[in-house]
Amino acid sequence: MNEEILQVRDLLVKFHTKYGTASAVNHVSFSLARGEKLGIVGESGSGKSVTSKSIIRLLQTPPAEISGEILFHDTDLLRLSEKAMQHYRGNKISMIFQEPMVSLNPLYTIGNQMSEVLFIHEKVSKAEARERVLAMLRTVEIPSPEERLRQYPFELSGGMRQRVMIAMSLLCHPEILIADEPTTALDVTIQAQILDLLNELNRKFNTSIIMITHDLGVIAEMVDRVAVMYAGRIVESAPVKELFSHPQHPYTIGLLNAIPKMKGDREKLETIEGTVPSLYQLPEGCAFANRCTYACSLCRGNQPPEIRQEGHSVRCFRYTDEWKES
Amino acid sequence: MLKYLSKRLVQSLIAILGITVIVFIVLNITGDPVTLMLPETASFEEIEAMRQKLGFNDPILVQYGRFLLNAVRGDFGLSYNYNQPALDVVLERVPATVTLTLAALGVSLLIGIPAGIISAVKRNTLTDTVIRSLALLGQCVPAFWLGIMMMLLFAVRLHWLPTSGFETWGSLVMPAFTLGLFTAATITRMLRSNMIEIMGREYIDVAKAKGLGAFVIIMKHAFKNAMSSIMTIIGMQAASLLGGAVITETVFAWPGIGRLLVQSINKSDFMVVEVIVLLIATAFVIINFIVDILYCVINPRIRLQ
Amino acid sequence: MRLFWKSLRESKTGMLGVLIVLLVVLTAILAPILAPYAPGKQDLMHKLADPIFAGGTSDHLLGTDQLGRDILSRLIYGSRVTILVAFFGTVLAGLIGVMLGAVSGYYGKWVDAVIMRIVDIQLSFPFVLLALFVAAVLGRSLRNVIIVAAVSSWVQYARLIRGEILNVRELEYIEAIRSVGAKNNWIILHHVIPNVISPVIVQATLGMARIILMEASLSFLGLGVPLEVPTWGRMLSEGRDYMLTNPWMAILPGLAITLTVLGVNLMGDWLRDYLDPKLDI
Repeated sequence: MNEEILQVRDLLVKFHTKYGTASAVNHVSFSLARGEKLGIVGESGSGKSVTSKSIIRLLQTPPAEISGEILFHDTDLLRLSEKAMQHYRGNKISMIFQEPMVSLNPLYTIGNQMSEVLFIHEKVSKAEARERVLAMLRTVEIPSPEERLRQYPFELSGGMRQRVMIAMSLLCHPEILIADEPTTALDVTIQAQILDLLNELNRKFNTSIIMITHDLGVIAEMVDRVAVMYAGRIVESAPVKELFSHPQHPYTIGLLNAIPKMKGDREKLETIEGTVPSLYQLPEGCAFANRCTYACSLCRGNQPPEIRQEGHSVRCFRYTDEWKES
Repeated sequence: MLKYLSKRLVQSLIAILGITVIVFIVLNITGDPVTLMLPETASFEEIEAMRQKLGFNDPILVQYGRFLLNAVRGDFGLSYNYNQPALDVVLERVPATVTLTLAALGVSLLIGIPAGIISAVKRNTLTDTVIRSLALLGQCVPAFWLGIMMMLLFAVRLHWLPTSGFETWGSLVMPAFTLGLFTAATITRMLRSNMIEIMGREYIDVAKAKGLGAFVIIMKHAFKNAMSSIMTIIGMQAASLLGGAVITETVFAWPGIGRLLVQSINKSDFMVVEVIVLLIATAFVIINFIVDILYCVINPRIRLQ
Repeated sequence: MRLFWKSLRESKTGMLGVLIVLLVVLTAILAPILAPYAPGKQDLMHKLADPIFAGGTSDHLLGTDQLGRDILSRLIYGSRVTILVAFFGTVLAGLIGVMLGAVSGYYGKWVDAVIMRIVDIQLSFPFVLLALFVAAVLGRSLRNVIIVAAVSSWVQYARLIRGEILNVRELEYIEAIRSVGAKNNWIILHHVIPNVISPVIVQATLGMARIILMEASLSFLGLGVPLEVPTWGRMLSEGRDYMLTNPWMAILPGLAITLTVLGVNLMGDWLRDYLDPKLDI
């Protein structure tokens, strides 16, 4: 469990557009152990999707500019040629996407699109590919898989398509599965099924999962460890139970307060006042300062340092010695 | 699929019927050709007798019915100019036009498809800018002028190709390019914008995330989808080549039906004009129908429903 | 309006297009002032003179044709037919299209069915052929060329308007304002027209380019305006016979056509980007 298979160090992603330069990801570092389920949570525009796409290098460069290190075992993926990178995508590291309705090519059968993955990464015969695709469709509990092979995407429901996507991403037994909001577009009941499935596959194949979501409910149900992103930075990171019981960053606290609680009185839901700063003009200091009830001049002028304590790290001045002094 | 195709077939038949109505009406506006058929000295009685004989005094619907019946039987009357059945005069020249149109279609696809793909894949680079400028220019240059300029350069100055007529395959080159270039430019522009749109779809990201190489992504996942969405328009373009052939054939003295059409118009040989218009319109409708079938073949959604 | 100028200044190609179009329009209006000779004036002593840059004299800057007529003057006067046909053809096509489209979208049922069938037929009919056919039957005249231009391009407008009306009819807020007594005319004026004005303008510009090419083709084939009226297409067709000895006679009018169509297209592309970036006609 402790072997770290992925280490992201000081990841920096900028987009050069005609409106200026947007800093989408700012000095993000994290690591992922074998079999671990890591959740990255944040609002849209927080940089969570960009981070995940940087890992398998799906971003167009330009307009994107990526720097830092992404170490997969000992290989820095950012230094690989496009050709070499293709060997990792779908093979060692796979990804599933938010919109299962549009993730499959409408013109090809499920069988065609799935076996395609095997043909590029492994030397398999047609019959072999078919067998493995069928086996994987059974694993993700798709009914009558033989029939599915011949079907086109439009003939399947959204939940079914997401199962196909998951099956497709696991065909080569990747070490890491990146799931970018895999349940957002689905019905609540289907959501739960898909999450259960991912949990089970994680146990079965010991695949590490990076779960990108804005939904803390998904985080609670799925992951071992959480990283909270805000305006392109990881502001807090902790094991999931620790984060829910002892949130430290004011933003995390705000997020948790915004979850409607099933028990208790019908209190008014708390929301976080203010808006996310523009990625084109990030402030000098803490990006959350303008919405933070605790913020002082220290926060506005300087980047808060990262404070670590037994696997729980937070970027906030409130936990620094300077704060305690003042 | 059969339901869809039969619906389209019925629509096509209605379109052809509509065209016969238009042709019939327009020909009737011109007045009857009796005055042209008889010597100028013919008396009023003689003209009246001829009108009666040819049925020009019958009610309009009867005339239309007869016109339709004759058209179905392939009887379009005699060409005044050639003194032969109009249909024969036209059919004799069909192969030349078909050859030219197919060659032009080939030219436009061979230029338009690669140019559109390259332009989309390398968008906002110098290559893209050059292709886009040429495509824009291709849509602005009148075909007849382009034809004349090509003649000036390749036939008159360089003596590489024959100026006109249809004697050798070399003589096909310039007319085919002249006719195909506008369509090539149109295909390039449409394909580019469609490819760009499709390259932004999520399944392209998925294809990339699978580890596919750029070529497979572009050809298998993007191009086929782009084609399926611009197919009908390409079909219309292909058919409009038939209309463009009129001008190209005139410029290059190509012995096809387009040139015959212009000649017949100038000589008021309306029987021939009528046959050609109906023939081209019917061909147009048939081409569009074929494109519909191809569209079904490429698009599983329609094929299976 | 300020945004309009800003966008125009930022787009080099759009600016070029607008300038070319303005130039051609001004030339057409000011033709009698600009042209050094009357377009039909024959100077039989100086037949088939070369342009000044190809060894000709300054009497005839762009040379003369087979009857000794000044090519520059004929080019200048030729722009008039181009502009007239493009402008009135487009306006007429717009009027027909908007009217039939509105009727079709509004009354629906069999009226819509009939009009849409006509649209289908028209779309399944080669455009040049239609023009040729009508021109042949109606005879050569400016009015006929304009009618042909309009008849061959009203379909696009009709489809735009009909589509938008159907679209608007589906919207709930239209139901709401209708329930408080809004009249059809009011709805068309306030909810349909503002939505289609941009695509119609773009369509009109790009349609104009098509009409210019069509008019040139007709004139080239001798089926356009009366033969004695100078047009670029006609000049080109005459120049073709002297291609071996006087290539400029054919080159110059072709350049004029290409440049004008280019200007209109550039303007149309820019208008499309400016008015509605999502639009793709």
